[in-house]
Amino acid sequence: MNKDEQLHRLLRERFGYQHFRDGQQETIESLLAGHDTLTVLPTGAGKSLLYQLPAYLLPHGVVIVSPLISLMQDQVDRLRQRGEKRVVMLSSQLQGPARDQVLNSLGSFRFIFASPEILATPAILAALRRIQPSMLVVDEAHCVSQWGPDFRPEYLLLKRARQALGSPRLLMLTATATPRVRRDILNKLGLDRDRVHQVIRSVNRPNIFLAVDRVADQAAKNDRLCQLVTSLPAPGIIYFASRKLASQMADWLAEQTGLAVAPYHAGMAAVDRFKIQQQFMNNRLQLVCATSAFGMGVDKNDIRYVIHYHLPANLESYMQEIGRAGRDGQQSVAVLLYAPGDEGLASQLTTINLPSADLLTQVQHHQLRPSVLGDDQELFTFYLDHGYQPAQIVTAFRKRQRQLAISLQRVVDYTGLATCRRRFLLDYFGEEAADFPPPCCDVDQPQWAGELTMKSAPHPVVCQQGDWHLRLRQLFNQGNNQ
Amino acid sequence: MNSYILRFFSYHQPRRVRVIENLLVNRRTVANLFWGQQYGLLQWLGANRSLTRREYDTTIDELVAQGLLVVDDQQQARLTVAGVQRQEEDRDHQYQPHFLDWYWLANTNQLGQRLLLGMQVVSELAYHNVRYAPVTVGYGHLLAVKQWFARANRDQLAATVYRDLTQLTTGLAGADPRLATVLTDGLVGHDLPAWTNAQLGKQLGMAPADMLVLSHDLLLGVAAYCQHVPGPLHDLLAPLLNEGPLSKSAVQTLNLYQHGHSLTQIAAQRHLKLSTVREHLLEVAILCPAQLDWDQLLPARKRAALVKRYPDPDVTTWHFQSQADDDGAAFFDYRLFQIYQGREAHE
Ligand SMILES: [Zn+2]
Repeated sequence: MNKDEQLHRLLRERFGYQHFRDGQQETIESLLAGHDTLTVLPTGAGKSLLYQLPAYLLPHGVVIVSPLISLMQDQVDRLRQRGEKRVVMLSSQLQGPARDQVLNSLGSFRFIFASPEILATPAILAALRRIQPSMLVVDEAHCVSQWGPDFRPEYLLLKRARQALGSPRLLMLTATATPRVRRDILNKLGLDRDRVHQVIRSVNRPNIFLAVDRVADQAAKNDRLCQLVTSLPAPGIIYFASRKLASQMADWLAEQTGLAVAPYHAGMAAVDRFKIQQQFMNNRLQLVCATSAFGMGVDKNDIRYVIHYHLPANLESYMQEIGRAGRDGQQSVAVLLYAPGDEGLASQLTTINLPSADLLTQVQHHQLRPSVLGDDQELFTFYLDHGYQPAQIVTAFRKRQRQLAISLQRVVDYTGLATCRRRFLLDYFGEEAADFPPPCCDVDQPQWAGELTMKSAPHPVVCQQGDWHLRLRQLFNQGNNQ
Repeated sequence: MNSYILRFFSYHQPRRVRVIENLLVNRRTVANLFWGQQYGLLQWLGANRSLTRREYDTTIDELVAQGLLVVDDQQQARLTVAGVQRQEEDRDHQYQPHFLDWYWLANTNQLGQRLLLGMQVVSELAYHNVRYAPVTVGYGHLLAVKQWFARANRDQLAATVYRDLTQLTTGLAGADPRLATVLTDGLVGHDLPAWTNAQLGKQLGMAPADMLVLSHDLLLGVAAYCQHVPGPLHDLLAPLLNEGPLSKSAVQTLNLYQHGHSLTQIAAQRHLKLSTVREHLLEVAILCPAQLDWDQLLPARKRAALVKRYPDPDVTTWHFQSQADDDGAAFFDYRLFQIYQGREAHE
C-alpha cells in the first residue's frame, strides 16, 4: 500500500471522511517527511485533523500547545467523543496526586495538550522530554507574534520549551496570519524561513455575507439587534466586549424576542459553560450572547449568523469569530454593528497602564513590591523574571500599543468602506483579491436583508421541564419514558 | 449577591466583615470559627467557596452606598434601620435552607462535580453510548468516577442508580419541590442537555442570590442522603464525605488528649508547635464541645479567676488582657473561657 492509500484509509476508517480538504494532505505529508510546517487555513477547514491523523502514524505522543484552557478542553472533548481515550490535558488546574499520576504515565498518551505556562514548568518539561514526543503542535500560532497585554507572554518561551523537548518536528497552525505575522512567528520560534514548509490557503469564506450596520447610538443599536435576530434564521452568536453586557443582553433579548438565548463567557463556571454549549449544539438554544471565549472550538456546522455588538480588537479576531458561521458551506451572514464612539471602548479594553522604566527597575531590584505596577503586574513581572530589561519592556509595550491602535483603526476603516468589504479583508491578509460574485457584501448589495436566500432555522427543541420522575426515566432509559 | 450577603448581618450585633467572608469560603481559623459561632453563622461555613474577594468587597461597598449597612473603623458592620427592613422583606420570599446542619459533611462544589460526571457516565451507559464528551470537571473526578464505574455491576448500574436517585429525589421533593427540579434538570444525560443554575433560577422565579443558597443546600441534602443510605450514590460520593466537623489533624490531637496526654506531649509526639495543638483543642471546643472534659481543661478555680477579670456576660465585648512572659497559655485559657461562657449565653 503506498503512502497516499495509507493516508486515505486512515482518514476513512478513523475520521470518517472520504477526502482531504484543501491544504490538509500537503501539511500531513510535510510533517510525516519530518519538516517543520506552518499552515494557514481558514477557520472551519479542519485544522485539528492536521495533527490528529499523523499522531496515529508517529511512534510517540504528540504535544499540543494551545493558548486557552477552553480551547484545549474543546479539542480534548472532541477526541474523546471520537472514542480516543489516550488524551490528557496538562494545565495549572491539574494538581496533587492526579498530576503525579498523569506525569508518571505520560508515555501512554497519544495526545498531550499543554497550556503555555505549564510548559514553563521544569518538572513538566522533564517528564515530557522523557517520552520523546514525535511532534510539537503550536495551535493559534499567531499568538506567538503578539507581544503585550493581549496575549499569553508564555508563548515567548516556546522556543526554549521546544529545545528542551529535543526539538521534535513542529506544526504551527493558524487561521489568520498576515505575511508579517508569519515571518514573526518563525522568528520568535527561532526557525529558518527557508527550512520551514508553509501551506497557505486563502482565508476567504465565500459563503459568509459581510455586512456593517452603522447606527446613530446605543438605543438604535439595540433596536437593530432585535430586528436582526428576529429576521435572520437561527442559530446565531452575538459577540460582546464585556461579560456583564453579554449576560444583560441575553436577558434583554430573551424578553424582547422570545428566543431561547443564553450568555456564555469565561466568568462562568466550567460546568455551566459545558451545559450552554451542549444546549446550543442540540438546538435548545437559538442564540448565544458571548465574549470571545466562546466558540474557539465550537463544532456546530449550521451557525447562520455572527453579529458583533462591539468592535473586535483587530481584523484577525474578526475573521476568526465570523469564521464560526456557515461551516456547512451554506449561506451565512456576518454583521458588525457600529455606533460613533465604539472605537473609544475598544481602545480602552486594549490599553494598559504602562509603568515607567524607573518603577520597573525598582521592582526588578525588589525595592518596591510588584503591586505598584497596577492591574497588569503579573504581565510585567513575567517579563522581568525572564530577563527583559525595564527600558526594553517600556519600548516594546509602547510599540505594541501603537500597533494595537493601528490594528483597531483598520477595523474602523472596515466599517466605513465604500468599496467591497471582502476585497479589503483579503488585501489585509496579503491575498491577491479578484472580483467576487454576489452575494458578497452590503457595499455591493445594500438591500441584502430581503435578497439573501438562507436555509430556514432548525426547529428549536423544547424540553419539557418540571417533571422530575420523567426526567430521571429519560436520564437512565427506564420504563417507556412516558 | 447583595441580598445574599445582607442576610449575614445584624442590627444589634456588630459583625466583622472579614469573618463573614472567611466563613463563606471556608477559611477555618479558630478566630473565624469562634466569631462565626458568636454570630450564629457557623452553619454557613463553606457555603460559597467560589466567592471572590473582589465580588465580596464590591457587594459590601454597594450595601453601604445603599444605606443598608454601616462599617466602622474596626471593619465591623451592622445593619441600618433600612437594612433591617430590607432583610425582613427579603426573608418573606427567600429560600429557607433545610440541610445546613450538615455544613461540615462535604465541599459542595466538589460533590456537585462528581455527581454530575457520575450520572452522565451512567446515562450514557444506559443508552449504550461510549463516545461522548464528559462534562468539564477536574481530572481527579475523572479518575474517581472511572474507578467507581470499573467496580460497579454494569448490567445493573442504570437501574440501581435510577432507584437510588428516585429515592433521594423523593426525599428532597418532600423538603421543597424545587430541590427535586434543580437536581434532576441540572443533570447532564445522553442526548439530554442540562440546565444551568442561572437558567433554573429564572424558570423558578428565584433570585440568583437565592439559587446560591438552594444549590448549596441541595448538595448538602445529597451528601446527607449518601452518608446514610447504602447504594451506588453512596459508593460514588462517600470518598468526598467528612467524618465530622473537625479537621483530621484536630481529631488526632483530640484522641491523644482524651488518652491523657498533655498538650506538650502531644506537640512533641506529633511534631507540631504547641500553639497548633492549642488551636486544635480550641477548634474542638467550638465545634464539638461535648468531646472535652471541661472541668479538667478549665478547672473551677481557673474559671473563678477568669470571671473576675472578664465579668461581662457578653463575651463579644471582651478584650484579652495580656500578661508578662506569656507563652500563649494565658491566651489559650482566655479563648477557652470565652468559648465556654459564650456557649452558656447561647444556650
Ligand atoms: Zn463585496
